[in-house]
Amino acid sequence: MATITIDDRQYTVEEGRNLIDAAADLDIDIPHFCYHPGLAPDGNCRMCLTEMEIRPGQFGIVTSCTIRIKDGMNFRFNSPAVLDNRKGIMEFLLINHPLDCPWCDQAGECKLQDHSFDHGRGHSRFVETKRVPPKKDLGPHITLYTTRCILCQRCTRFCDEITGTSELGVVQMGSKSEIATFEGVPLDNKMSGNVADICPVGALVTKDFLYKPRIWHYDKVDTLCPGCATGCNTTLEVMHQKIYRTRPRHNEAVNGHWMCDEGRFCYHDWQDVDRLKAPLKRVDGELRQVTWPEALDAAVSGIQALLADEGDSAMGVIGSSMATNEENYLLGLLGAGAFGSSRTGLIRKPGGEAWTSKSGFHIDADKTPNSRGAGDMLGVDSLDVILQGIEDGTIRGLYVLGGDIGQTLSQEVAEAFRRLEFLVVHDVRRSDLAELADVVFPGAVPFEKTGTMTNAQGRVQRLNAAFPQPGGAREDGAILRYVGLRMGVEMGEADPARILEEIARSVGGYAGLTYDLIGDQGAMTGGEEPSEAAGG
Amino acid sequence: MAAPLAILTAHPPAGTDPGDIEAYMAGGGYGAVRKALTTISKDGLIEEINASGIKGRGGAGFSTGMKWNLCADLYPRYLCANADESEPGSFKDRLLLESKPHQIIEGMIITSYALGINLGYIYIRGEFFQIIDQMEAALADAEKHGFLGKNILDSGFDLELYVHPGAGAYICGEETGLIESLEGNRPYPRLKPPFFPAAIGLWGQPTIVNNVETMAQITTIVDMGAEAYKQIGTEEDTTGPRLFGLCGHVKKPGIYEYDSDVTLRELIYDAGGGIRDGNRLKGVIPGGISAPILTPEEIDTTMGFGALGKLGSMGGTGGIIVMDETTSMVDALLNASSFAAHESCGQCTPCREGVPWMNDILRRIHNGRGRDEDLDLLLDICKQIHGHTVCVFGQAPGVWPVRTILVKYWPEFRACIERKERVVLPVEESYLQPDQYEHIPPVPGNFRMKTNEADAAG
Repeated sequence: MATITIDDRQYTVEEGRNLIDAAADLDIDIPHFCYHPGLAPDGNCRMCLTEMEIRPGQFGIVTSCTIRIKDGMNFRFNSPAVLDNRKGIMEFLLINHPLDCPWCDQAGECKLQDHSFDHGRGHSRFVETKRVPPKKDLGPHITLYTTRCILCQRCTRFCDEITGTSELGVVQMGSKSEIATFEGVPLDNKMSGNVADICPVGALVTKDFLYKPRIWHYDKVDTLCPGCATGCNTTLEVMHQKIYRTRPRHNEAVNGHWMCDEGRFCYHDWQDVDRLKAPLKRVDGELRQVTWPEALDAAVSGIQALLADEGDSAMGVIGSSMATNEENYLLGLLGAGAFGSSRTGLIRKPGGEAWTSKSGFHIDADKTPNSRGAGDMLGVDSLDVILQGIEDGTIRGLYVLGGDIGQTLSQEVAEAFRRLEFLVVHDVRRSDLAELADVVFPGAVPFEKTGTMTNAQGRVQRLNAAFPQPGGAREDGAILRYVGLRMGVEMGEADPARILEEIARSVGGYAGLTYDLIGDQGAMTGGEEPSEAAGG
Repeated sequence: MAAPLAILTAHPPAGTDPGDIEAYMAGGGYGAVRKALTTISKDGLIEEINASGIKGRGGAGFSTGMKWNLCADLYPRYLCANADESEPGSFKDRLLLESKPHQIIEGMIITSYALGINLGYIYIRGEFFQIIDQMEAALADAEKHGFLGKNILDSGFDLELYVHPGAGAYICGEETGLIESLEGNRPYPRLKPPFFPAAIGLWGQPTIVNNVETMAQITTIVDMGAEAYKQIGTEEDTTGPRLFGLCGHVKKPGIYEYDSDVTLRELIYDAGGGIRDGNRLKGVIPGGISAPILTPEEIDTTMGFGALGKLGSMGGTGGIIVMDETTSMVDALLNASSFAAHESCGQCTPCREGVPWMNDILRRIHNGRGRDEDLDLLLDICKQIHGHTVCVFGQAPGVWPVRTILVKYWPEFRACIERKERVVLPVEESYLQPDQYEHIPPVPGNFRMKTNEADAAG
C-alpha cells in the first residue's frame, strides 16, 4: 500500500496501480477517453491530464493513465491548469463532432456527453466547416460512424492486444485521420463486437443494436452467457420480455472485460425458438396440448405403473447441461426418492471449436454452459449406464431434462429411446427428443432461470432470470417439485439459495459455497481460487 | 565583423566526388576514427565530447555530452542519426549529407565506439532519394576499407550501420516518432515519461538519437581536440561552428558557416548581401519555422542558443527565413500554420484538432472574413494546446509561430480584420514594441520561452 496526496488530502491506495484506477477505487473520477482498464494505456486523448509534484513544490502536467502509484506521490486534480485543460480537450473533441445525439445509439451511455456535461462550455466557438467523412461498413457486425470518432484508438488497440488480429488501423494524418480496415480485410474476428462496447462514443456500433430504443429504457440483468462452458459474465438489456443487447460484465477470473460474438448474439437463437407454452401428452400416438394437472397426472401415473410392474429400478433420469445445478440436483433427488433409481445420465453435446485469443480469452469447445455442474450434481458425465440399461432391458422408462435448442439426438440415442415404454421430457420446443416423449413439460430457457452454473474451470456462478417464462412454461426446478410432490418426495422450498445450501452439504467439492459467497463474481468449487486469471 | 569559417563547409578538392572515400582519406579522412579507436579510451571520448561543450544541432540545442551520459546502463544500445530534415527553412543537413557523407559516418563510428553501440541507423528523409543511394554507397565503401563491420581497426569493436529511408512525414523527425517509424509503425511519438530514448528507445533498448550535423561535428571535435573546438564561439553560450541556412528575401541565399558570435544583422546584410531589391526588413525567423519571429529591432542579437533564448526565440536548426516589407504577416503565418496542420500526426487531441482549427481561422482572416474575436480565440487555442500534447511538435510548429507572429505583428492582423482584406502595413506600423504587449490578453505558460535548453528539448 502507498500513501498519496490528492488535493491536499491523504489517501492510502494500492502501490503500482494506475492513477485512474486508484482514484476510481476512492470514488474520485478522472475523466478519460482512451484509457480502458482492459488495454494498455496510450495517453493520446489528453483528457486525464492532472498535476503531479515533480520536484518539491513544483507541479507538472502528467497523463494519469500512465502514472503508477508510488508512496508519497502528490497530485492536484482540481487546479486551474487541470480544469482548463479538460475544458480545452472537450472543446477540441467537439468542434468536428456532429453532435447528432438525438439519433445516435450511444446517447445516454456516451463519455463525450458525460464529460461535456461536466467540463464542456455549453456553446461552441467553432464557426468553420466540420469535416464529414463517410460512414463505413467495417465487418459483419460493426459499422463505423466516422464523423463521431474521437480517435482514442481503443478499437485498434483491442485488435492488436486482445484478439491479435490487427484488422483496424488509422489511415491519413492529422485531422484527416480515420479508423479503417485494410482493403479487402474486414473486421471479422471472433470478438469483434467488443469494439462497440469499448468505443467511448457512438462511432463504432453493432449492426445488431442500431436504431434500437434508448438505453435508459432497458432493465439490466446480470447473468451468464449460455453459449459455452467458459461461462462469460454478462449483462442483458431487457424490455417487455425481450432481450435487446448482451454485453460482457467484468470478471477478471473468467472473461475479463470481453465476450465472443457467438455468445453476444446467441440470444437471437433463443428468442427465435417456437416455444412450448403448454404441456403435451401423447394421445393415440400423437402429442396433444393438455392442461398442467392432466399432464402431471399422466406423468405420475405412467411412472407409477412402470415402477409397480417392475419394481424399483425400471426408471432412469437424464440431467441437462442447460439446466442449473439446482435443477439437476432436484432431478437427482426425484430419481433417488421417487423412482428408487440411482441410474443417471447426461447427454453430451458433440464438441465445437475451441479458440483462445492472444490475450488468453477462451472460447470452450463444450457449447453448453453447465455440463460440469450437471455432472457434479448427478455424479455422471455420460449416457453409458442408461444406454446399457435400455439395452439389457432393466431400464424401461426415463425422465429427461432437455432444453438445448441447438441439439439433435444421435441415431444411437434416438433408437434406444424409441424402445422405452415411458418417457417424460422437459423441453422448450418440440425437439426430436420431445417428439419421442409420452409427456412433455414446457421448461425455461437459461435467460428465464435463476440459480447457479459451474463453468469448465470449476467456477460456480449465478444465473439470474431476466423475465418470466412465456405462457404456461415453468422453470424446470418448479416442474420437478410438482412431480415430486405428487409422488410423495419432499424437496423443500424452491429458493435456489436454499437448494445450494443443500448441495454444499451433500455434493463433493461444493462444500462451503453459499449464494452470498458466490456473489456476482463466482467462487471456485473445492474452495480454491485458480492461481492464474483466465480472463483476457 | 565575424569571419566566415570553413570547417564543415570545407570543399573537397575540385573535381572529386564527395562520396569518394579514397579522396576523402587522402585529405586526412577517417583520421578521427583512427585516433579515437586506437588512442582514446571510451570514457576519454565521452569526457572529450563533454569538454567540447557541443550542443545538439537538431534544434533544441540540448547538450550532446549530457544526452550521452543519460544513456541507461543496458545493452544492446542503438544509435540513430536523424537526417529527416523537414523543418521549413532548414537545409543544412542536406548540404552535409551531400558533401560530407564520410564525415557523418565517422562521427557515427566514434559515437558508437564511445557508447558501446554495435548497430546504428541513419534515418534519411525519404524525399532525399539521391542522398539515400549516395549514403548506402558510402557505407559500403567504408566497410570495404575496414571502418565498419567486425573488429574495426583491430580494436575489437564491431559496428553495423544501415540507411533507413524516411516515411514521408515531419513527425518522423521527432526522436520517438523516428524510433516508431524504424520499428515499422506509424510514427506516433511515444509518451515521455516513460519512453525517453536514452532509457527505453528502439526495440525497448537505450537509444541515442542525434542530428546528422551533430554526428559530423563529433568528427570535428575528435580531429581538432575539445580545447581547440571550444575556442570557436563562446563557452558560455554555444561552442563550435554553426551552419546557417539563409533563405527568403535576401540577395544571396545559401548555407553559411560562422561561429555563434555572429549577429543576425551580419548574417543578413553581410553574408546574405542584404534584402532583395533594396527593400526593408520586416521580420526574420532565426531557426526554422518553429523558432519565434524577431522584429527588425531585435536582429543585433548573436546567434547562440542562449542569446536567442533570452529574446524569447530559439536557435533551432539555424534555418533563417528573412521577410521584407512586401510580406503580409497574415500570409506568412497562414503558411506556417498550413504546414503544421498538414503535418500534425493526429495522435493526440489538442494538436490534431487545435492546429487545423487555427489554420481555418487564419485562412478566414486572410480571405477578409476575420471577426473581432478571432485573435483572442487564436491565443486561447494556443493556450489550450501548449504543454498538453504528447510531443513537443504540437507547440513547436503548431503554437509558437502563431503566438509570436500574432502577438508581435498584432496591428497588421487587426488591420486585416477591420478592413476585411489582405493588408500589408508599412514596416514601422506593423509590429509592436515589447513594452506594448500588455494590452494583448495575457497568455499563461510564459510567452517568453525559458532559456533552459533541457526544457525546450522535451
